[in-house]
Amino acid sequence: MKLNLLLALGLSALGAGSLTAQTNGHSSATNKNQNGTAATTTTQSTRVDSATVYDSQALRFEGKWGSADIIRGAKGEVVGTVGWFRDFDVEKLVQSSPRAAADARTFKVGNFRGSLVTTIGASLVAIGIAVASNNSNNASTPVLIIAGAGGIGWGLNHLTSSYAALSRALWWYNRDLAPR
Amino acid sequence: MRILLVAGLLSGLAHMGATFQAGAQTSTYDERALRVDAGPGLRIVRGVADSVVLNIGEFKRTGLADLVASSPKAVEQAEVFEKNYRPGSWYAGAGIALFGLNLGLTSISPRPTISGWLLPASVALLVYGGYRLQLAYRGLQKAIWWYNRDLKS
Repeated sequence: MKLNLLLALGLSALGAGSLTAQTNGHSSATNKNQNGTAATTTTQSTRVDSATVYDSQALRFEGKWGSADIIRGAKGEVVGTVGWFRDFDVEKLVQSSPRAAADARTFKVGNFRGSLVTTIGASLVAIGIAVASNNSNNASTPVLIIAGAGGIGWGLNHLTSSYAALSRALWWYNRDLAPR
Repeated sequence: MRILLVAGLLSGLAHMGATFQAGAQTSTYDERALRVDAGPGLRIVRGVADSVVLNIGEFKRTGLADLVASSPKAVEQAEVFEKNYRPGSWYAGAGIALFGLNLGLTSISPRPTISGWLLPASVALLVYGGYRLQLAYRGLQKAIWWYNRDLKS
């Protein structure tokens, strides 16, 4: 009976081992959704796997003067830069997670509109200041400055919303890194 | 035969247990993971429900460190945020105010002598404030990243 029990335990350990290997093979971000049965034998090993995946794959962004670096993992590898008139494809980066990809599209549209209108607004303000600095009592000066300031406000609002969408996209991407 | 039956049962139990644990971990992330959101101002939301857990005002202490207290590295980065966010907001705010004052003075003739200094001073304040805010936002993003990471470990 004891021998039977030992054999049974041995076989079940082999089964669990093969499942663990399967989990490791599926730990990359790109094939996460294909495997619904990631498995390990203990809570601790599952959590270590998950933290390891997160440490190496999870994304975040860090702003720098009108643009933002997209950074992967704990080591801080820069995988791309987004921002004013940058065309790094975030959607492709997070395509393994459908919800992340949808938010990445929102980011792309909002970022382009916001960048464009903010730039036009800033240009109008600069022209208005230049005209006013020449002491010319031009009636268009206040119109230029007010229209420019309005454009900057509208554009910055769109940029802020687009970065919120980027934050959401990366959140979903990181969420779908979890072994499932 | 009995050996195979017991082995199958044990293996199945192990499999079910691990799947349950992984599912529980995902639901922890779904319920507890944070991210930055933009509403009226900057705010931190939690989980798939997007419940707002922190509104970050420009000129007051935010309480981010308390929010991420369960993760030591997140607290470290939250302190970077706390240290830079308010000063950055004040400097940038002062820069915008001086810039507005400069715009107002351009319509006065003859122009006061002080107006010559207003534009460079406002630009300097805006740049320095922007630099401090940038440090703050980096700290914020890292704090949230580490907090969410530690939900999975």
